[in-house]
Amino acid sequence: MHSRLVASRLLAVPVLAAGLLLAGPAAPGVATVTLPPPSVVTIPGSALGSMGATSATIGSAAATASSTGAGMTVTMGGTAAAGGVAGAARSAGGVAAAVVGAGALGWGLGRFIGTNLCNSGVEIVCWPRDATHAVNGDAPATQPGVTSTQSLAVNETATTNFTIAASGRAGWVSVTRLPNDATNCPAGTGVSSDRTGRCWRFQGSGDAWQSTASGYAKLLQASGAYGGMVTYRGVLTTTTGTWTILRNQKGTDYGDGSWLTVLGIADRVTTSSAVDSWQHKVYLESGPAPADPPRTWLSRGQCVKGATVSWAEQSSAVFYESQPSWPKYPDVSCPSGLALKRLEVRKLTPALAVPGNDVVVWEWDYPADPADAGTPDAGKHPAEKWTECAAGTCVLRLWKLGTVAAEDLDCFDVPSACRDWWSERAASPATYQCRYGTHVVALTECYLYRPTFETATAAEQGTRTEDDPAHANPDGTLPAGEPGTATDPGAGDGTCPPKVGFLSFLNPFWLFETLKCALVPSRAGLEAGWASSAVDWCTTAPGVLMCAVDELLSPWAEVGQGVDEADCLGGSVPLPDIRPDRPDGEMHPWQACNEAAATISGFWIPLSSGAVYLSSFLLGARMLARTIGADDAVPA
Amino acid sequence: MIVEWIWGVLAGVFGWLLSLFPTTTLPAWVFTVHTFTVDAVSYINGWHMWVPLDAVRVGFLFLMSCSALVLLVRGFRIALSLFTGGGGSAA
Repeated sequence: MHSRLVASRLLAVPVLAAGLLLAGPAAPGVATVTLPPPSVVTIPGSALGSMGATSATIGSAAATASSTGAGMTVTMGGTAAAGGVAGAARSAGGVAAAVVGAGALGWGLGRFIGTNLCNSGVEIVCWPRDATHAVNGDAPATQPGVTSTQSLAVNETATTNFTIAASGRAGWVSVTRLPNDATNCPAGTGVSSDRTGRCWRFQGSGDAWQSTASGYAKLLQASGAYGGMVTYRGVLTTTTGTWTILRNQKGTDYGDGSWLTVLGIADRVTTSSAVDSWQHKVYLESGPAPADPPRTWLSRGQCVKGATVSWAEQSSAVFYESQPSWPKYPDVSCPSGLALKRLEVRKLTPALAVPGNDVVVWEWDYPADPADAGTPDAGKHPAEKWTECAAGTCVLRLWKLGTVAAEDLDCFDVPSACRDWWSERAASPATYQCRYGTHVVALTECYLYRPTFETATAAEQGTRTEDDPAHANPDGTLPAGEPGTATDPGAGDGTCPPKVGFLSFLNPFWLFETLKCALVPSRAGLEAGWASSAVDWCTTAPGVLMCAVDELLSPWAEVGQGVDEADCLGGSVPLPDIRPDRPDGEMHPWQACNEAAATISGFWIPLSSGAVYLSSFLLGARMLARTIGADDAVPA
Repeated sequence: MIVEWIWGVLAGVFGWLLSLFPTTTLPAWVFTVHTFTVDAVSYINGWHMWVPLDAVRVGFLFLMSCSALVLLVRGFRIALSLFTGGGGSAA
């Protein structure tokens, strides 16, 4: 801390020296000091005090100073806010004068971040950014209506107010020092003090303690230079009006030169005893949204199983509408065992104001069973009603009730029993039943099976399979071109089976068909057999562990899958929010879009892939060889 | 038909066996970890320009398969050694 304090003072010395060299001879009682830019100057109070300076010129902006008591406030440009200027009138002695101080360290760091990282190297989406906006840390050329700040010398006990007029879209945090007394730091007013006895107070225009002028308000949290974090709750208003952070300084040799750092617009203000500056740039809410802001697609899927609801999300790469092609909607998938109930794609544009920053561009909802309307199951997905159906094991099947030996027949197993089900259902609706897994649903759900079990025409014979039956529309209407009634199966294009006769059992065709029917299981039959046992493997004691392991490990099987090879940006890392209600951007540290990185990546990926394949093969072969003893040492 | 019938019987027996066990449900933290893992995999997929993810996945699966095969072979040899009346461990 001390070393940084010394360093900051050393930085100030050359500026002061230059200024003093440029200054003309001081008239008795009056001194004029002309200082070149930058606009942050630290003038030890003792120096000005000895010169009796009352005015200073910073760059081309005239600055006036008013001195009341032992304090001095230097105003650059504009007009200092009344509240802040009034605060400057208090002082307890000592002489200190300084003009705007940006803190070389913080200003330089902020400049580096704002300039270098936005322009090259790591990709940062800085939004918005234009000539009138400066990214956090940048110092614009002019600060309209900004009151200069004042540094504090070690052991200085004078009180000086620092205020800002946050007009436009940029402003400076300021600090006010007040005596640590009951007037300035009364109990219960949100004032905290650290172990050095410093008292902080936040003040905004129109409110002595924690005011909010128009514009957005932020909470400020300051950390003590020593002794850990000290929290000061204050409110920062920016677009209009002013706010002031008042810090009462008793005066110690530990960081009188602390300065206030705004970590983020909506974030925290911390102090450190690094430099003698009390000022830091605040990046305020932006102006009009950019014309072509960066955007992303966000696909969200609602996954359900019973009472469990989770959302699966996937974002696309950042894109601009001016691009010739946009990324596709990202795919989402539900965890195994959960069913997809709703899918939506949102277009996110953080640079726009609410609600334009989040627009649903496409959505799909699972069509709920209309028969559930008015019931507790209204709007529910089958996986919510019946958990065993969440894994997709349930299938919609048509059953004929109470036929052979009072057994229900699955029409997909015995199609011949349901050949005329469509015409029979009207006469005897109780004969047929539509089931989803083992659950009975409305018969209308099976209307799409209207022609499925009818005898095909000769043209259809041999082409239709059990896994691809003919379907009707969901309302039972037949689509165009539906096959008509059956014809003689012996006629046709040679794909029809031979006629059935007395010696058909000797016909290889019928022999094959008989054996096939008897021995070759169908997928539908196997599913029906499994479903008949009504086993939900994942709810049983032996299965829950395996299902849990599957849930935990299955995502790793997706590594490298679904990756858009054309996306050179790679994954994104969000930047912390620095504005009130908008996410502030993201960076792509793994991007390989520029020529050098793309070239290196183009060589590296194939080489490393080959190395991985080769090493995997060698390791696996060695494991197998050891198992069978093939790698035993050859005897000498 | 026959095979399907046998399958249905076996499934019924299996279901009956499972019904003897207490039922339970996956704890909620499994889904939480699953979601977190999905996010982690999504983040890892962002490295595709520098890490050969396909090769890593295939290589890992190949090694796991080899490990499983090795375990099977060793297990078979151990089981077989029980019937050979000596000769030492076949592990």
